[in-house]
Amino acid sequence: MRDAERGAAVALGVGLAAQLGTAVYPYAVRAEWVLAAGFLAFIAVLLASALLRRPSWEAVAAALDRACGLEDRLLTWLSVVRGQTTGRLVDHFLRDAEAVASTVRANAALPLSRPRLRAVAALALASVLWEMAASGITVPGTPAHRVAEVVRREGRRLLAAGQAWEQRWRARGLLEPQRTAQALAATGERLTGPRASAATALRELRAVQEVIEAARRPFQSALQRAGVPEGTEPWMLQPWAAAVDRELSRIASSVDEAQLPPQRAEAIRRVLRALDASAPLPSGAPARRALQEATRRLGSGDTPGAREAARRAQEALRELERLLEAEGALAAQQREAEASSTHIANALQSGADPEAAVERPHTYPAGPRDTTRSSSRAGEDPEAQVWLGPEQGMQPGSGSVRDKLGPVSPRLPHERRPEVLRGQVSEGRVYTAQIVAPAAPARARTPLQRVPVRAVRQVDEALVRDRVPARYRDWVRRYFTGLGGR
Amino acid sequence: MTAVDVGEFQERFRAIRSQVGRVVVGHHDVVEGVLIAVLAGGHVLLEGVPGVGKTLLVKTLARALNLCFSRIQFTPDLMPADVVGTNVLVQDEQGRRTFAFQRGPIFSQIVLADEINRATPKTQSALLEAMQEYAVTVAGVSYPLERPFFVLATQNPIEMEGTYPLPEAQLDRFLFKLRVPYPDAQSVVEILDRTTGAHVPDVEPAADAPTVLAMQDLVREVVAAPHVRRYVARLVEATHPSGPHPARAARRWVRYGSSPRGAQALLLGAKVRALVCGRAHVSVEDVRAVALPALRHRILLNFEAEAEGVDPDDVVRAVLEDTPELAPAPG
Repeated sequence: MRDAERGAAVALGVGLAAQLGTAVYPYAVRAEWVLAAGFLAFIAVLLASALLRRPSWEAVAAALDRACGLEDRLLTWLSVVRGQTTGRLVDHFLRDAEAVASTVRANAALPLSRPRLRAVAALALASVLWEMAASGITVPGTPAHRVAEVVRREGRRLLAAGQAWEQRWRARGLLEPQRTAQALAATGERLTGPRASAATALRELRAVQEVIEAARRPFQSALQRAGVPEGTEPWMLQPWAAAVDRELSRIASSVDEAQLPPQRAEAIRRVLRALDASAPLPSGAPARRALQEATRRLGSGDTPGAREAARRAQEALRELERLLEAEGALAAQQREAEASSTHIANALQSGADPEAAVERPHTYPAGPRDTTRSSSRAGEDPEAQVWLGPEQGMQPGSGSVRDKLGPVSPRLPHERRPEVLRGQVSEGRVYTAQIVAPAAPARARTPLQRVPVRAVRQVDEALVRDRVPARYRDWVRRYFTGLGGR
Repeated sequence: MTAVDVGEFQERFRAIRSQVGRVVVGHHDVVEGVLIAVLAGGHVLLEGVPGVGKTLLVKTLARALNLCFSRIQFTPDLMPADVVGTNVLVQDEQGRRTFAFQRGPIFSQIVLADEINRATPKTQSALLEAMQEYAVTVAGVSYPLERPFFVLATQNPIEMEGTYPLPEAQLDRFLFKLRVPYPDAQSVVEILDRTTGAHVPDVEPAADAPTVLAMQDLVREVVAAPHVRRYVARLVEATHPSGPHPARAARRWVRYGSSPRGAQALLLGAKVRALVCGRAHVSVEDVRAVALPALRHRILLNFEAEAEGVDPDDVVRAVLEDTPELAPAPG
């Protein structure tokens, strides 16, 4: 028992030291682990002692003598009953031993009153108190402090992004993204606390990702029912859906006319066929079926039927757009949480590096090197060079933006007209602003093409890695995909 | 009194201690040590500076035990015959001359050998036979000493000039060596009250020679279990630097360890202590309690220890710390 207590004390002591070490080095030690280690050490040493050691009767008697304060009466009694001790006072001794034994309190033999167990209890208590009162405290200038700085930075980022999203989705009336944005902001707020550790942060981020994942699931099911192929990213459909919606509005207004000139009807059918052909949806999708029906009815001269079919297609597309928007919002939130997790995990891995906590652009994965610049870095270890990103070099994935994009495309000569926009943020006042709106839509010069899923994913990953601020990534992505749609 | 039981032993011990305490102020440990040694049938060497009450303690003890007391002041010119006695020529009424043995002061029951280290080794050796054999041999005739017989010797540890340190063989004859420290301030005040006033405290006899002998007999009957005997043996063995299991302190600082008489002294002292505590069996704790007075004069320190100012008490304490109460399991 004494060895077991010693083992538990050692395990708890080591655990407590490890907990104290979290103030200097960025690793996770929780009080539950320390207590479990102490308990396991106690059991393990107890079992090992019981299995490996065969204590003699004398040892057992001596231990009981000590524990109960019997002053060697048990040991002496053992020698008397074995006949090793004789004499005139043996009877007196036996009477005395019997009398003393009857007054021994059983709880005196319990190890609870022994000082080593008190040490074990004190160590366990210290471990719990450290967890409650001082965990997360870091010593400035140490790796743990630098990692804590990264955690707080990510917390601030998530808080800002979550608040912005929450405001935005409230204005748009999308409840689920609004709810998850609130959760994201709350997580970010907790991470900005002075005692948020990396382990806690990763746990919290995992939890919020699960919440977002759960929120995404109904939308993904609904998208699947709407015929969106599995694995299709929401933003892949959004430009097409928006374009179709726009076209259908025009067509719906056009087919309201009782008599359509044949050229006009043929033009509309061509547009509808082109839209159908460029749809990134399978032919059985409700929106696409309605589109095909509208085309068919327009061909047969059934203008009201075509209008009705166009209306159904429009409704299906609006629903699809809503689903896509919500799904896109949730996916963006999930990516933010993932990115924070990645940053914190990276900081943990490079915790000893004093530069880790400094906010700086992310480094890029190894890629083709710029051979044109290698001469300027002569003498340096080529493996140690940090690849600075796609803005350098002439190869794909490298080179300056100007080199890669070539000469600036001339603006299309089209009239731009001023427009007045009205909007309301949340439940606040209504804002009006006069802006120069985009030019009226013209025919696309480049036919709409289906982009390979792999390329889309690469772009998405690049956007995540790139230095685009998290809160603007979605906008940037929509902007570029919107450009593709035109 | 033919026999004493454990309860009576305890009561008698307390009574003797109480009577001694009426005169001797403080020094509870020393008084208890002397009583334990006396009841174990051993002799005591008291070491202390002059004036701390060594002689008073012995004289008071003799009165409390109602035993015949004599005092020998050891000086350099003291001769063995002055201690044990000598044959003198006597003439009877018919004019015949014969040698008759004139008993010396050793023929007593409690002998105070005051400042024993001032006598020459030859005179000190005169005590050897008396202390060990309880008899004195003069001119080929052996004269037994009356039992109980105790030698309580005193020595001054600070005056070394003109003294003859007791040889190891002589030291080994003493069951205990007790150190008499300076009394504390409170005790000094009480000493002043008792010794400078008109009233002189009187000591009533609390025992007599047969009682003491009966108590000594009872001591021998106390149950000593094998583990206690083995512990005593291991303690003594641990004081030997060249033994199979020396303690670390013994290996470093001891030249010669305790003799088997040390083991006897340990066990006898422990037995008395057990009876004093009302027990009929010896515990390891009893042995540990008497280890210092029983072993401190039996350990001969080496030069290194002398140079470092190590005291034999330190060695004994270290030996106690290093020696487990139970023998380690074989293998």
